Amino acid sequence: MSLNKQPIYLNLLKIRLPVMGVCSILHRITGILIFLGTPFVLWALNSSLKSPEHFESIVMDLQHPVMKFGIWVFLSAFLYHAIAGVRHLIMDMGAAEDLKAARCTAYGTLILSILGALMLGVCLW
Amino acid sequence: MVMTASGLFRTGVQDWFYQRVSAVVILLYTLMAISVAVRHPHMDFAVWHALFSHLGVKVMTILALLSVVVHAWIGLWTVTTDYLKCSCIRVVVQTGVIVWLVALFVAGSIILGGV
Repeated sequence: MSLNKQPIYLNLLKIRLPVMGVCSILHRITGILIFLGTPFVLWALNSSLKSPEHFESIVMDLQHPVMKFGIWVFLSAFLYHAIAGVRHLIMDMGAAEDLKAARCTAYGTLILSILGALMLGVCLW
Repeated sequence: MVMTASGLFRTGVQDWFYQRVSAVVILLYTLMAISVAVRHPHMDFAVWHALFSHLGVKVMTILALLSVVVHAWIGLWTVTTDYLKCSCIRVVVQTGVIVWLVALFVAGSIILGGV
């Protein structure tokens, strides 16, 4: 089997990922972050709907700097995941599929997300 | 020998399709949530409670939650299948993920049922 003798070189630190690759791995990482954050969203929803007192207390809890930072990370991850997802949908429809266009939309996704995350930060603080 | 590789549905194409359908549902729900947030910059309990008492909002929320379960399962199946090479660990993690996601869905349904 000559196939097995091919060199396998997967030192991830030495592979320079193209911007589309960065876009793709961030889509995965943000997806996992959203998965991990979802229980907290349900917990907050549960508390907020119990009574006016619970509502006030959860609003107070969410003002805590650590909580606020967590909300910002979650929302920024969600925003990135959504933008990168829309990019996928556009490509699914057959648009912007060539290398040059894909590189452009990958940069666009990153830039839009960074701007969006900054705006979220301004809104939250 | 593995003849098919798919996470939730019978074929990869079905996985692909429902990944998109669930994504669009979540996106539409998010846009509605943003419009509510914009219209109520100072949300209070009365408005918040009335909002989630509405049958339409309950249905949309549960639909969005169901979409999260489907979407997260297909996504995490893909990611774990790519990175967890030991099938023993992979099966445990994937089973844990599906049980956890169904638990989230049940929790969400109970929360909305109690409003």
